Amino acid sequence: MSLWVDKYRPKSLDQLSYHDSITHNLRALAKSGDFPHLLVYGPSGAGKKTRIYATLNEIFGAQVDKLKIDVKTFVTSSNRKLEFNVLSSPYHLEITPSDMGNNDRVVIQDLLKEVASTEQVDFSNQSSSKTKHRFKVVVINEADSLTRDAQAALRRTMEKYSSNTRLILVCNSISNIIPPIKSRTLLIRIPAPSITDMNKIFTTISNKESLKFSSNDSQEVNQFLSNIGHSCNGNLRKGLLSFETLSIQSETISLSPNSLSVLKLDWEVIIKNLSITIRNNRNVASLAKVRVVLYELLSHCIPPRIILKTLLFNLIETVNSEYVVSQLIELASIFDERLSLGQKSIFHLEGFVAKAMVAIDKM
Amino acid sequence: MRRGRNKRAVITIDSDGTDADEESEDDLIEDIEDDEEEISGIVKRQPELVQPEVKRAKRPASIKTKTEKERKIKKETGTETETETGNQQWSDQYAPKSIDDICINPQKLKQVKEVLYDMIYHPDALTSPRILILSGPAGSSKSTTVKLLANDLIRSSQDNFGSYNNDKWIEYMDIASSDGFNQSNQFDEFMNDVKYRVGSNLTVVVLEELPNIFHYETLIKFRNKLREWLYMDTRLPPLVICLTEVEYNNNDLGVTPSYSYNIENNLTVDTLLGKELASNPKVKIVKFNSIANRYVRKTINNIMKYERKVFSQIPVHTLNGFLDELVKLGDIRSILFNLQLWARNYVQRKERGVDDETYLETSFIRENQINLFHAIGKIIYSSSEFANLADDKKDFYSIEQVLNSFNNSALLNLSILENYGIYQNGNYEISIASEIVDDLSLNDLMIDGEASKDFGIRSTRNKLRSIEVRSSSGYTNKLKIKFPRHFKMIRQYNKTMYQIKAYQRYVHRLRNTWQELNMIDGYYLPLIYNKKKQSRYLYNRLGGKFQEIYADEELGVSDLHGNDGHNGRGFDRDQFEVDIEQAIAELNNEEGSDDEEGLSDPIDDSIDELDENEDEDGERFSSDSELEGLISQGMI
Amino acid sequence: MTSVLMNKATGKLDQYEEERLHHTPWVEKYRPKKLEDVASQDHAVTVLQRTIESANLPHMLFYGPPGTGKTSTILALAKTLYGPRLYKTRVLELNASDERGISIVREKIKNFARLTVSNPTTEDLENYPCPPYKIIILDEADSMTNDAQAALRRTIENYSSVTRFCLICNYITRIIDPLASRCSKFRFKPLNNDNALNRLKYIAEEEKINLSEGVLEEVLKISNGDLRKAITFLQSATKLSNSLEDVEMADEDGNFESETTSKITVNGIQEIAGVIPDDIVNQLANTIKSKNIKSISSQVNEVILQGRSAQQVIDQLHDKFILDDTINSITKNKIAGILFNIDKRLNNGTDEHVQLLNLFVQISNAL
Repeated sequence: MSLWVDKYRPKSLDQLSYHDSITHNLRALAKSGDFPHLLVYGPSGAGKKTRIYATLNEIFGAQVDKLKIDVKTFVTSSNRKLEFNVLSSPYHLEITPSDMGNNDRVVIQDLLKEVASTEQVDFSNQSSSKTKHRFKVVVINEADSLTRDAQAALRRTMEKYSSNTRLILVCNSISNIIPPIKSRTLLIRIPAPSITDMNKIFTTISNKESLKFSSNDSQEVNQFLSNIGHSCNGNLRKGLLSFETLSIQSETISLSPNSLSVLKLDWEVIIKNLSITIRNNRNVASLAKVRVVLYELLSHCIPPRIILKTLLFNLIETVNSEYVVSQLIELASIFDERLSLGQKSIFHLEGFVAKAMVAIDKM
Repeated sequence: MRRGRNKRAVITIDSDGTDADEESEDDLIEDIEDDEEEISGIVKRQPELVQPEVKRAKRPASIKTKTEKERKIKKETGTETETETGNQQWSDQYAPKSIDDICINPQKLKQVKEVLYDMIYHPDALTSPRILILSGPAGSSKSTTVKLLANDLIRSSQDNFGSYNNDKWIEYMDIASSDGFNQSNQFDEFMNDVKYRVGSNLTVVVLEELPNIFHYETLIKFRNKLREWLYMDTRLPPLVICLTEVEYNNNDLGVTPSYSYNIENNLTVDTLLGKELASNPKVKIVKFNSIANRYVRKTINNIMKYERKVFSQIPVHTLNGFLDELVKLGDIRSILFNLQLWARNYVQRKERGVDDETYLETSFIRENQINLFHAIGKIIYSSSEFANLADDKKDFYSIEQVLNSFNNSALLNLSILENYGIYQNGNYEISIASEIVDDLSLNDLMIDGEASKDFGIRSTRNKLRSIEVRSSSGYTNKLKIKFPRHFKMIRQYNKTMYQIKAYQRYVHRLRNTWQELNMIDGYYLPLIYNKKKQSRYLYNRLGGKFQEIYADEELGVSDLHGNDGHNGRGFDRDQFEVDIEQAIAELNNEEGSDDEEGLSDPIDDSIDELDENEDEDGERFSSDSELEGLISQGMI
Repeated sequence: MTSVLMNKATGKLDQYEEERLHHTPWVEKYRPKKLEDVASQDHAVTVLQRTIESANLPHMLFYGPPGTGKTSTILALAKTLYGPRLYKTRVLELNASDERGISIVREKIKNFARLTVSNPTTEDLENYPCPPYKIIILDEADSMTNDAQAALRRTIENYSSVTRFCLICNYITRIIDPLASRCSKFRFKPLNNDNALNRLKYIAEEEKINLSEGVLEEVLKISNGDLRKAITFLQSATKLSNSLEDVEMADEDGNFESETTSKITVNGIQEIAGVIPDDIVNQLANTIKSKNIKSISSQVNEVILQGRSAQQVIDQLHDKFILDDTINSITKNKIAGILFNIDKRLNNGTDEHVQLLNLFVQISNAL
């Protein structure tokens, strides 16, 4: 009874349904039995991890999907205990350095040293099996959030342990990856699936699940599925979850555009309403109301940067002066930077809202 | 700098005191600044009460150098700021430098000395008192006493080690970090570092600044750390907490709207430590009172000697009248601040030919303690005390008052953000509001330096001043001052994060980031599961519903205390929680018995996969402190 | 495939050696062995050769952009001075950014300087100058803190009777004056294309790489005069294409289209380097010129969905607009300012989508 995202997740390279040329390259790497360090990047929900696991599956077999969670403890130089989770199979392990804060350098160095020193020596008796490999794979998630320090350290580690460790760095963007790492890894870009790509997947699933639509006109169904694709803006994971949500609400799926309204995420709706408040009521009292909502979003762990970005895009929609739009964009860009440099995000979010009100006032 | 001051003082004494000094005050300031440059390389902590040559001969190197560690801490945290200008505060300038100069009842001094001595030289390291709490009103010489005693007691035994100039105390500095999440770690690190300061390295650990204990979890962590400290089975340095207790004070000054509780008068030994810790036999408490008149007089007389240039211009009866009122304050720091401000003003006015003997005589005095709500009021409205001054002076003194008695600029800025909108009930231009918020936002980027303390505050006052008062008499403040809801937000944030992380860890098995689970799955999953699964409870939004967060007009006691644990309040009973509980229970079962059938009812397919590996490493969850933490906090 | 695996299993040791060679970065493999081989740094090479003749080496400071042969030069020089046998005991390579603490650096230097010099054999003496001092190479010296550099100054003086230091850095301005003034400075210019191209061609021939037309030129263009980067790109591309070759040989169906052959193409190189193809850059520039905010914002969204690096977009748009002759210089100045500003913000870890959108809109306003 698992979710469609899990049920229809491709387990092997053969099951991957889009980006064929990338799949082709991955298969080539997997077949050669060895690969250089990889840097896999692309927007979230594009299928980076799915492709990595499919490749590992190709190399090591199904055992890589048998994951267990270990809790590792490190003691920092200041004698502080640091715990983080490691996801692992006999052939690889996966870490998320953002769990480690500023200690990521030490933790990663230690961990890789440990991995490198416990070499895989199981090829004496199973030389014919596919699992014969002298290296272990370390997947590092959110590599773009690694501190510069940690990245610099990683660069040396890459060279030092290249005989028995392979790193796969995963990130959304390589802008924050230092050049030496980029030049020591094979870059693999995974773009978001196109509307057509997603449409194909949705169609396959709706056939397999024998979904019923309010109309049998394939043209109409197609259009409807494309709308779902549009609403999730290239994030297949979001697309699948929202498709399943939609399909489970009633026996037959109504193809009217209204039924899509359930797909809008709750916090996105909150921000959309916020943008309308900002557009229509531009005064000090309204700022106080805005603050309530901003705190609401923050307290539900919606990242400030996402709040700012979503708010900007919604505001742009409500404003028709191009001059004001470009002003709003510049404001968002400024306050976005302040979010990075500052400490308490509420100041900058409210700062943006106040400035945006003034900018719209001048329209 | 200190040498310079000494020289200056000596000259003043040598010259005929009754003569008005030739130098104008400006020259004096220049002089001081020159002196400052001369020795600018030397880091110093607190200026000391000026002593004539005798004293200097006895202490050849009167310039204190900080201990290595302290310097390191300062450096790391970037709070090193030279606050001195020519207009140095007397309370700093004449701070005592030997225990004999402390403005305190000698009996009290003796009492503290005995306890501290016992802590340092107790024969049995394990039964000796470990924590000394000095509680009392602001400005009752608590920290000065302990710091000087520390130097005195420890140095006397180590004289020949050449470490004579190093302070024998180390103080915790709290640095507001991003959104207040990591502050408790900072404290942890400090405590871990200082516990080795024993033996030849013996140092008294002084906690005057505390971590952000208004943040509930930080308070709990703080208490745990102290408890741990009490029961560590090794010799530890003496730990002294200087706690400024504020008695409930109903003396509303009329500037601010009424209030019942505020963040400061909640802070007592009991509320800080909890009953259990406060009554622990290894915790000693010495209560300080307001300083009695005679000791204050002694100190003031001393200062008047060195500031003769100023006081010689004030008629004796005016001065005495003022002093009689002043000493009643009992807060030495505030007394000196008021005395200095009053005297300077008096002289300045006199120079301009205004001879108003009653001027400002009492208005300064009432302002002895200023709490957060008062401070905000003064920033938003400016202080009514100074209503008869010119605008810029009015603002300047209002802000000075706030800054002098309220150090937590991060809290102040959050409070301004919460309250700038109440000025004229919010009936003013949005552009002005936007400038205020813009400056607060800029202020948030400044990490250290003097400007970071007052930039936002001054800017707010200036911007609000620029608003034309529409009907000068006709409006009343309908809106009340509110306490910033930042901490409320953080508490809610942590609750949300805990639930999502627990779900991510135990049910979802770490296949996605928790932020992604929050933003996407958290919304869709309940919509899917509630239709698909026949579960006992409904699935609610992962991490709890979106809840509007409002600011409070007061900080109720119940909000801070009695809420011992995250017992799921704020969430309804929720199937996600049940799933998490079940997943954890299953993991624990596996650990207890190697029976693979322990997984009777897998919640998620991925758990099926798990049991094949579990026998390799059956104990891997036994030391899971995250889990223990969650359980102990009542989350699970 | 199976037979290949069997081979690997049996010849374990050979294979280890093979593996090691296989993993040796070409940058190391093709490092110049002699001073004369260093590509296009004639000035530095001539001066250094003269010093070898007199066997009297000063302290040296090599500076210049990455991949211009600084490390290669000093290593080649050391080999020429000592020969392979003495080299090990006479040369210490330290990486400043590896272990930043000056105390560690100093400790290592002290220990190294203290080691007694093993005497050169007569054979060595015949073939190499073998001067009576050691060489300490401090790579990435500009990443040392000023304090550490100041401390290093003393260390250099203390050991100058038995050692020569060679500091290597990218930015000479980050070396404190007292330290810089103790060294003879050698500036390493960005390589000129002909020399670098020759070097790449040489490697391509040695490694028998199957290249399409213009690939090496593209590699050079992408790496911006940084030979190390160029060689690394070439190696990555070769690795990928080699495995493709293996697949094709192993694949019995042979159902791959001809365009996916293992030949390294310009596009393939661009993908590996994360570079955006010219036609897409042109498209972006045209959208910006259209000054239509709607199409700009959907174009930016597309860039983000494609997973392109905002940094890369900025770099390439910079080249595009600054080299565009139809834009006057005042506008170019404005655009450069905008690019700088957004670049700075991105460096502070800001949101790529918002910043790129702003970049596009600002430039389009400036045009």
